[in-house]
Amino acid sequence: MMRGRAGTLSLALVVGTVAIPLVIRDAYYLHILNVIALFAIGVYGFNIITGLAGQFNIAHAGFIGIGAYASALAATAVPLPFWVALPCAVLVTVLFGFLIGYPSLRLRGVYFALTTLAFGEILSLVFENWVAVTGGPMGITKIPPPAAVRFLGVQMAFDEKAGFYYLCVICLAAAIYVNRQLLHSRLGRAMLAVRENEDLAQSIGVPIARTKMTAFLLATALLGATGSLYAHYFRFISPVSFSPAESFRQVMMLIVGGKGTLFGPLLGAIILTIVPEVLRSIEEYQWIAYGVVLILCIVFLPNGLVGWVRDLWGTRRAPEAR
Amino acid sequence: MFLQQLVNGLVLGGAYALIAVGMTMIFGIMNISNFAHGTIYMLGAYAVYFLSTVFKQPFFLAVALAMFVVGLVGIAIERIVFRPVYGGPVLNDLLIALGLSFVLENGALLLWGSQTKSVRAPFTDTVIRFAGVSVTLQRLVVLFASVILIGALYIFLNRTRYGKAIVATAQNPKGAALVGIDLDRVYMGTFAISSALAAAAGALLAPLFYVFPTMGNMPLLKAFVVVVLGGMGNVQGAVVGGFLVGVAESLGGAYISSDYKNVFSFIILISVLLVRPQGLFGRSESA
Repeated sequence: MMRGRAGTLSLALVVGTVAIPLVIRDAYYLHILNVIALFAIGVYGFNIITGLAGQFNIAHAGFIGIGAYASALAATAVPLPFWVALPCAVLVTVLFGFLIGYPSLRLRGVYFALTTLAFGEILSLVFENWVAVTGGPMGITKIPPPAAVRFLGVQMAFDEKAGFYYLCVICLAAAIYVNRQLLHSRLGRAMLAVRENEDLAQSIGVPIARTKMTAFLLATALLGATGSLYAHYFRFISPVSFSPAESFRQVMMLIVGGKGTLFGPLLGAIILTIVPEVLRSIEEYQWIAYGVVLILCIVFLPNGLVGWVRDLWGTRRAPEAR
Repeated sequence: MFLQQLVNGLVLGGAYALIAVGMTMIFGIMNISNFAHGTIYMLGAYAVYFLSTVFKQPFFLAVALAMFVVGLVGIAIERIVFRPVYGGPVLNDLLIALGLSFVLENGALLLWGSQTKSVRAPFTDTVIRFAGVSVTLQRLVVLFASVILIGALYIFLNRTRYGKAIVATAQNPKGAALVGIDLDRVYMGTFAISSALAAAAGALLAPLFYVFPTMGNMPLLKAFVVVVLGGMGNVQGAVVGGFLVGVAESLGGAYISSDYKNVFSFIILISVLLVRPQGLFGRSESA
């Protein structure tokens, strides 16, 4: 019934998104947009395992770090071009996802959360201390940007912010598409069933361990892609960017935006990137403020801003869109 | 060498057991995995720092007061932070606890700064030697105090009305409510006791290590490993698991690699999940 209006709206959205770098020329604003798009990809991954399947992955930034280090090493030590390093990074991250998910996702309850909490801490120890490979606290420098591509007769260069913007937006669109498809598919509904009640889900024939594992592998794929893009955008990585504290900032993006919703992750990434930039002068209060906001969100807005707005409109959608 | 590491491991294990016992009680009774428990341990260390070093109180009085004060903090946390989410999805409990740990850790950072503080205790310079083992008296104090506190907890849970009410609630909350046990009081008591025990661990270890805002992160992880190893919600399991993890870490650090001694507990965690997920003493449940 809304197809016509929704179609026009999406077209306007696409045109607007494509036109942004033509309107905004300021490098700083483009950089902010790139950072938003970059992290939003990861938060969409987070949304699959935590928002849809209800399993809390606390090693979020750690998995992005695996992708970033894998991609950076592939591009500097081997060296492979970005377009090969990206899929390699995704594969490596998914492999680690499997290794962590296999022992912990078979079990019910909080074992997965505990394992990822520990894994996140271990990862930052490894990033810091395995100097021969990770460069230790100094990190890896001189990571090459993605090579330019000729597409439809247009030369796309990714060593500048506008070009990278399109790369990020394409990946982000893919991440949103995966989330959308999940929300409307049997697999996605199985994830929601697992989140709501594992006993009930099992009784109606949902393969619990496999559903959770699928969610986690999809999530880690998106996290690996985020890491790879991060490494080749900043061209420098160090352990600080993938610390457990950084995970917490990205937890905030999902929770403030709205876990389990389609546009919550994007909204959260926008808010949690712009607000810290604006409030840079009182930076030292940011973590304590995040903690307070997180607690208040869970108590008063468990489905984030997107969920809250939807409740305000009182639209009773089907349960999968909750 | 072996005996030396064994003694060091037992000292560490005693502290791990103190932290883990409280964590496993909170899990057993409220089904909450308290990610903020490491920051409670940190608060205990700061409390003893202020009481003994700044206000010049005797060390043991400072430890007792630290337990009391942090126990009150535990009650406040239970009332204000966790009570609104009881009965909700487990994910929300985890998120709330994580948020709380950030508030407490960064609150400490803002109030007291990031520089490390050291606590003087009467026994840090007394060294005892026997059978080739040399150990500071303070370490033995940690070990004995842990054993005494755990013993006191055991007597409290098994011999007093309040303690029995807590055990009954852990076994069956509905049944406990049905026979007239006030669950709100049980929850409050559980948080008070587990916070006081974590504070005791922080306070007792403070003279051996430094005091700083993020000091609770590693003990938190260790305590989770202990809780899983002992079986989630199992108090005896947490005690045995605490000593096992402490000794394993101490021996592993000495004989294999001290750089990666924190990795050993992670390996223990993964092994337990693979081989015996219900823990050493847990009831077997189909996973």
